[in-house]
Amino acid sequence: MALTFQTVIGLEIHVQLATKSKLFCACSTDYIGARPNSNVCPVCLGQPGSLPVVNGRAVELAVMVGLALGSTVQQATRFHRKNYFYPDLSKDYQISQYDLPICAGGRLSFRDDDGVEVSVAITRAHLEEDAGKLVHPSADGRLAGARYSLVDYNRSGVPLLEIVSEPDITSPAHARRYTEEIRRLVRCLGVSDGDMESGSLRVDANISQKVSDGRWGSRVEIKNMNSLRSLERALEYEVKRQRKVLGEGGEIRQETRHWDDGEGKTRPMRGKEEAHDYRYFPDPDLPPLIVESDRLKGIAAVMPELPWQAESRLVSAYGLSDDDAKIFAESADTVAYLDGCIRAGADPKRAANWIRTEVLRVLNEQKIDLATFTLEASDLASLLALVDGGKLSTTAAKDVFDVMVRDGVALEPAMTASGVTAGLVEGSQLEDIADKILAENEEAVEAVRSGRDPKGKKVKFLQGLIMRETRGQADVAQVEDLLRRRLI
Amino acid sequence: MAVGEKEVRHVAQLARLEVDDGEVAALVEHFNTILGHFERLKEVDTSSVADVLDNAVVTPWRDDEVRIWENRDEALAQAPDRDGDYFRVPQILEEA
Repeated sequence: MALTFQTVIGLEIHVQLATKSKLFCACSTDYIGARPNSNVCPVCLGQPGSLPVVNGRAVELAVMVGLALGSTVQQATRFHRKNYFYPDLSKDYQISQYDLPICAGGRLSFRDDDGVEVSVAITRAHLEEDAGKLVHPSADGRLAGARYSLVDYNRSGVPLLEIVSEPDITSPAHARRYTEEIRRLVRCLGVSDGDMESGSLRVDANISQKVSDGRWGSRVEIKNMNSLRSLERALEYEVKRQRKVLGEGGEIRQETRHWDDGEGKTRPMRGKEEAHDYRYFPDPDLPPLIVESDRLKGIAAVMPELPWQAESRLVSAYGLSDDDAKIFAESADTVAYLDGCIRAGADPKRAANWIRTEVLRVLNEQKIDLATFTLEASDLASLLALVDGGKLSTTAAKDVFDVMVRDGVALEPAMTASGVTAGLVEGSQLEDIADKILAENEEAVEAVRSGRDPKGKKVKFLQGLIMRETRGQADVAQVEDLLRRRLI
Repeated sequence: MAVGEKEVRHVAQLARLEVDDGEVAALVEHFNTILGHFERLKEVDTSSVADVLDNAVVTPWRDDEVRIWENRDEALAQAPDRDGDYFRVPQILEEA
């Protein structure tokens, strides 16, 4: 009988916490584009005699994630030293947590691409400090060939929360979905920007295969996946590779492999064969970390609405489709904007439609976010009220919207600037427009009058021009009637 | 618990310290003396002592405020090797 395989994946996600200062010192965490070694001090340079002092905000952000994941927030925890010798660590140890992580247990549930509910248990989430950055000045920027390396400690000590899942994930697609959900969560909580490309969210995967003949393939760790797409591709590659080896009766080597996005394959990392021997021990510089009950209650009280809570509220309260709700719940700002619009009187579905198609389009085009978007939710609501009241066509409203956004002005001046008036274009105003269009299209007019428009195509053409001239603000029946009278 | 040559060489390797054969035997003895002290400490009855987590000393929380350290140039100047703004270190292990 042919062998069948079951994929087993566990993920470790490192999230950089959005604090202003580092985890154990007051240096800035703003290292991207900063002059090398400009955000450093004796603590993050590992100078003898320097002492770490924990950043309370980082602890709070970690607690928020724990509460959102349904973890047990351990009120009495401590920090350990994880010892290893590598130049990106100034102290030759990383301050991390070992036996008592700040968050223990938890669960993350989501729907997969087919809409099937998936639930992944969380093992733990612990606080630790980031390492520095190594620069390898060889021709192609890779390690091989360089005779020396350069170290920048600006990132050294930036707070990280490492979220570890149980090996509950059964496919590369689910691994990607799980990561998307974690990213959405940390963004919504304001805990991290969750950007994989810049490294504020980094994923390591442990993947193995269970074979139908009872064999278990060894666990392989995959690193260097810098986007959701490369995460899924790397795991798909690894599933195939491991199944092929096991299918041929071979054995999987327990090792760490490096994803090469250009080549589209994973490769073993050399030099890492030596078993890790981190010799964890409690950091004597840091007494126990206590999260007082009052503090914990205070954090719980200011927890924002979680993405999955927002998603179901948008469906039940506003009647949005599941897909729309998901798009909105991607960011708390978008949800707040929609809420603001609806509070100011807009119809929920129309508001959702406009925000999704028009507002998000502008944000995309201008590469900005809602925080810097000039159009207030209430201004959009007053514009939509005119559309709802039949005072403004969708076409005209879009023109006005563009002016409001472009010039940063309120509804009235935007309408004046775009030459749009509320209400139907009718009577003499409509007649003037029709006459202008007819005068500009004598050929078509002649054709209709002399009976050379049996299918009425030219009449439709003229009607279209008139509607366009009124920006859709005329009543179609009135236009048809007017044309019939003019074209006899 | 006692250690032998193998453990000493392993620890030296983890710390990237060069230890010649002559030193190993002496280090084995030092290690075992130190470990012996801890073995003795283990004999103390600590059942009435509160867990370290219940200790009155707790880690203080710092406010999330940035302070710039002014002496980074001095720190760089003291490095054994530098390259402009960077610390320079010997070549790191090769990739496959």
